[in-house]
This record gives sequence, structure tokens and C-alpha cells, in this order.
Amino acid sequence: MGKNNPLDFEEIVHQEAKKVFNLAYRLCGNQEEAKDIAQETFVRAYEHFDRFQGSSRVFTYLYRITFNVWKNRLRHWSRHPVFSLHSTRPEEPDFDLADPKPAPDQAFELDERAGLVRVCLDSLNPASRLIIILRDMEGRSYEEISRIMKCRLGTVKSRLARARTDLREQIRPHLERMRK
Amino acid sequence: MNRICRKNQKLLSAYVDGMLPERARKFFDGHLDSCPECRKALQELELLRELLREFPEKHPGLGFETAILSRVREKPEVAALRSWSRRVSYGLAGLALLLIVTLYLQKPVLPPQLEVVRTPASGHPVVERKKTASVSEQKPLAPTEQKAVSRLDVLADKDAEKMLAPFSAEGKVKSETPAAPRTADSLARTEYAAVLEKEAGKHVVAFRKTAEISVDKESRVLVIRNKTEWEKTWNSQNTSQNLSLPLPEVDFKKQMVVALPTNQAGVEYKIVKTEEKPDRIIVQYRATLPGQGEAGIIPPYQFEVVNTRPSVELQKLD
Repeated sequence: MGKNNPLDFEEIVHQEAKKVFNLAYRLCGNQEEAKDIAQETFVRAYEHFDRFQGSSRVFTYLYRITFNVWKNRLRHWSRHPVFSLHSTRPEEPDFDLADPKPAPDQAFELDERAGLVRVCLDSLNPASRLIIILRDMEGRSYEEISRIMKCRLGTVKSRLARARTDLREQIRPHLERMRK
Repeated sequence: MNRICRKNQKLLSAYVDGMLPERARKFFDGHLDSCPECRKALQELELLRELLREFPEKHPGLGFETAILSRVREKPEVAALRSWSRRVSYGLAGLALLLIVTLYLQKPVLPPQLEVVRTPASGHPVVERKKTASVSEQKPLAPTEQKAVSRLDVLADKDAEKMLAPFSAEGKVKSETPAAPRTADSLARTEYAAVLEKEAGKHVVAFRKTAEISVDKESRVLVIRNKTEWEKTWNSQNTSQNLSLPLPEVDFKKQMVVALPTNQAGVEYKIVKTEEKPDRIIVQYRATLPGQGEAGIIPPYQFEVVNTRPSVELQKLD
């Protein structure tokens, strides 16, 4: 597997592209941005595939890269906000760093429940966002999460508990409306 | 919420995932029966997980995988280019470092005091110390100095043999050791060669002046042909001298101003004479080292108002 055998890599792209895209989409909340993150992830993976010894599953490796690519972009966005020529106020990027006061009502237009989750998710810090996505959206096991995030099982447990508490506090005012 | 419940909140996450050890899970089950707050927290968490599970998956659209593969295929060339440019920049940085180190090592290392060795009749070498000017000083050399030989050290036979070994067996080997500064700013520079000589039974390392090269610093001159430029230059002169002298009248229809910078790279310049030819102005000037010319504060420019000519020629006087 690797640069010497592009066919293998092509197969990996076919197998993992959708998963990587969805992780990127759930992290950033913007479809076009997610496509770009996913593409960059595969380019990086291809460049450094020699380092990947097959010690972990391919998706673990790809997920780690996806998270790092997204985090780097977050940093870039926080340092270089987009300014419109018609406005002096920075435009809201499709994704943002943790906002302490999300406005969930804004997100209800498309799908109330999904919109609420999106806004509340955006209020979390990057690591909390990732752990919630991996565990509660994708149903990954604690072991897989620990491999992706390169941390111990105990750390996964405590980070997940903290992330869930934070998310629950954000979403609590709207939970009653969300009950079916 | 009491302290126990607050602690249990931390367990709640592991509880819903079934990750609590058996004993802790049983304890928590019992606690939930009696604690409405923890029960509410559990319900909230379960609802939250339900919302998260429902969060829709997106499809990246047709051609997404092809786009990835084409980007991956085009990228190695870019990566290779980046890698090459990185190598080139590292190489350039290395060269720059090498240049700096070389220049540093070529700096004169001669001490200000040179030792002159004379061999008396007894045959024992006597070392005298003679105060001489440092070779790094920028000073025009007197003709008498050109033949001077300064010996730096007296070596014992065995040390001299060691030193001779890498060289030819002739006993007089010249090693190019530039001991004088090689800056373009100096009016003159001297090149030295280290010479290993055998004299009166002793090997001696001497530094001989091998060449004197005079470096003529080409003087630059400003030719001012309009009033605006004249005002600007005159005012800058006034500012630097803390003066407010009135601007001299110049009829730029017929005249122009030749301004010679009086100090260029440590050398002082002075206009001696201007001569008008039909097609040019000849400016004769003299260059002196600092301290050799006139004393006092020298203004930045020396101005000469001359009749307008298409060009200006500089002539250096000795």
C-alpha cells in the first residue's frame, strides 16, 4: 500500500471518501468546506502514506488527518476573518470557533432538530466536538476514539462526559420542544 | 443538586454507554430510583443522544471521489516542487552561512603589536616588541613600509618541522593568508603572505606584504537642473547643519548646480576646480581620508553653480 501502488490508494478513496467527508461536514457544518477538507485529507494521506505502517485501521489514520486539517483551518479563520467589500463587519464563516452564546433559533429553518444540534455543536471546543461526533453520531467505540484522538481510555471517558455536559447545558432550554 | 449528584453527573456519561463497572452501575441504578435530578439529567442525555444520532448524513455528490483522485495525482508534482524549493532555500541558507563564516575567518587576526625578531651575535633570538599601527586601520601606506617584514613568532625546530611537513621541502612556502581588511571602502589595501623561513638555525613565520592595491572609490556627483530639486537639496543641507540659510539664486534656464557629496564611504571629497567645456563640465576633486582634510564640521554637499552643459565629467586630482 502507498505511493508505489496507486491502485490501493484508489480503493481506499472509494471506501473512505464518504466517511471522511461526513466527519468533515459534521465538524465544520459546511458542505463545500467539508469537500475541500476531505480532499486535503486524502492528499496529505497520500503524501505521508509511507509513514502509515498499517498499525491502525485506515479510517483512524484518515480521521486524525481530517481533524488536524479542520483544526488548522479554524485557526486560520480565527486569525483571518473574511471581510466583505460591502461591509465593515466580518462575515460569519460557515463554521466558527466555540461561541459561548449560540442562537439556536436561527438554525430552525431547514430542520429544527438538526439545526439545533448544529448550533449547539458549534458551541463546543474542537476536541469536544470531535468526541461527540465520533461517539454519539457515528457510534464509534471508546477504543476507536482513543486511537483516533491518541489518548487513553480514561481520558476518552472524562472528555466525553465533559463534552456531553457542555452540550446538554447548551441544548437544555430547547429540549422540551424537541421531544417528539 | 447535592454533592453526590454532582459527582454522579460525571458517571452518567459512562452509565449511558454501559461503560460503568458492575458495582458502580448497580449503585447508580439505586441512586436513580431515589434522585429525581439525576433521573432528569439521564433523560436529557438520552434525548440529546437521540438528536445526535438523527443528525443526517450528507452525500458529497457525484464525482467527489474522482475529484479527490485527480487532486492526489496532481499534488505529487506540487509536493516535489515544494520539496525542491525547500531544498534550494536550505542550500541558499547554508551558502549564506558559509559565506559569513568565511568572511569572519578572513578578518585580520594580527594583533596591534607586532613582534620583530632580531638575531644577535650570541645566536639566541631576542624578541622585541614594537608598537605599530594595527593593520585593520585604514591608512594610506608610506612607500617605506612596503618592504617591512614583521615576524610574528619564533618556532622551535621540531614545531617548525611539523609546520613544514604539509608543504614542499624547499623551506620557503607561501601560504595565502590575507591579513589585511579587504573592504572596498578603504582607499588602499595591503595583501600579506605568511612566509616560513629558516634563519640563523631557527624557523620563523613571517608575514610579508606582497601587494598593495589602491582602491579608487568613484565619486558620485549630483547634477541639479531644476528649482524643486535645488530647494530640496539645499534644505536638507540646512537641516543637517541646523542652519536656515537663504536659497541661493540660480537661473536654471542657463545654469545648473553640481553637488558633490563631501563624504562617501568614509572618504572625504572636495571640489578643487570646475572647468567649462562646450559639451561638458569637468569637476576636479580631491579625495582625502578622514582627519587629513580640513578640520571642523563638513556639510554633506559642496555646491558649484555652473553654466548648463549636457554632461559632467569627474577628474580626481592626486
